[in-house]
Amino acid sequence: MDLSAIIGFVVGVVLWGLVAALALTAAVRSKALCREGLTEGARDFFILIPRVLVGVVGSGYIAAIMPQDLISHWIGPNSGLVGIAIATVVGAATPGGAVVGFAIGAAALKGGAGAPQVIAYTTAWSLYTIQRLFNWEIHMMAPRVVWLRAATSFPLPFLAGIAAMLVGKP
Amino acid sequence: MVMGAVLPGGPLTIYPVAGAFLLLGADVGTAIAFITAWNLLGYNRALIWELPFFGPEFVGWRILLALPLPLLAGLMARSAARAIAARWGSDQWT
Repeated sequence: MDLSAIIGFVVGVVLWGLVAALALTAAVRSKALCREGLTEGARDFFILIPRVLVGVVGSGYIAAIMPQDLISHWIGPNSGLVGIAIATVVGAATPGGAVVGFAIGAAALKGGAGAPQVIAYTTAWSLYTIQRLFNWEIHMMAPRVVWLRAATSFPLPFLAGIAAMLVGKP
Repeated sequence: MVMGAVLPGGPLTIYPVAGAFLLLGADVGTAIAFITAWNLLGYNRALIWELPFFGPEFVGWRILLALPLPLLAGLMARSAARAIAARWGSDQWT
């Protein structure tokens, strides 16, 4: 068994262990609470599964139609800091909810992008998601806090990408 | 930062909580570390969305590499806020 299979197995065991422990805690408190959690979880499961499926399958198709030579040239494993900078800018500019950024990142990874560049991309996308910034953040906090957060977030995708490059993982 | 990583929920819940921190007198660095941690380390999004796309090894490394970043953002925000207050004499962040 290679390392990633072992990691996958351990993560799976830990997650299911957590689920079992939480279910047990709920059952000890009250049977009704446990049943309620189960029905709510099942409902979320059936709502989320089609979305995840569309995202994962869709990202496979995006990877297939992405121009591979362009990707590996601009954000490939040998693109270094320039690739990280490009990935950061594109990540910050990517709109969309929970699926879009990860789908594009996974597609780019399959299409020949380097792991540090994809990490910079998802980090920038998580921090900036333009639409969230303007739809939520700016209305709920003082604008100057939002701008300060945006400014202090600026170096973070670079640092994450460079750190990934230095440790040579994943 | 720890709270940002463990608090579930979407943007609808996270920004009001951060705003409440500020109203209650938390400094702006803490609030920004909290939001950054939620953005980068939130287990909700990592488990449901990131894991199916990237697999556990990539996600694990991504999270490990992102661990110090909220702290860094918070510290930078704190010193920036101090510099702004020293320059313009206002430390109002709510």
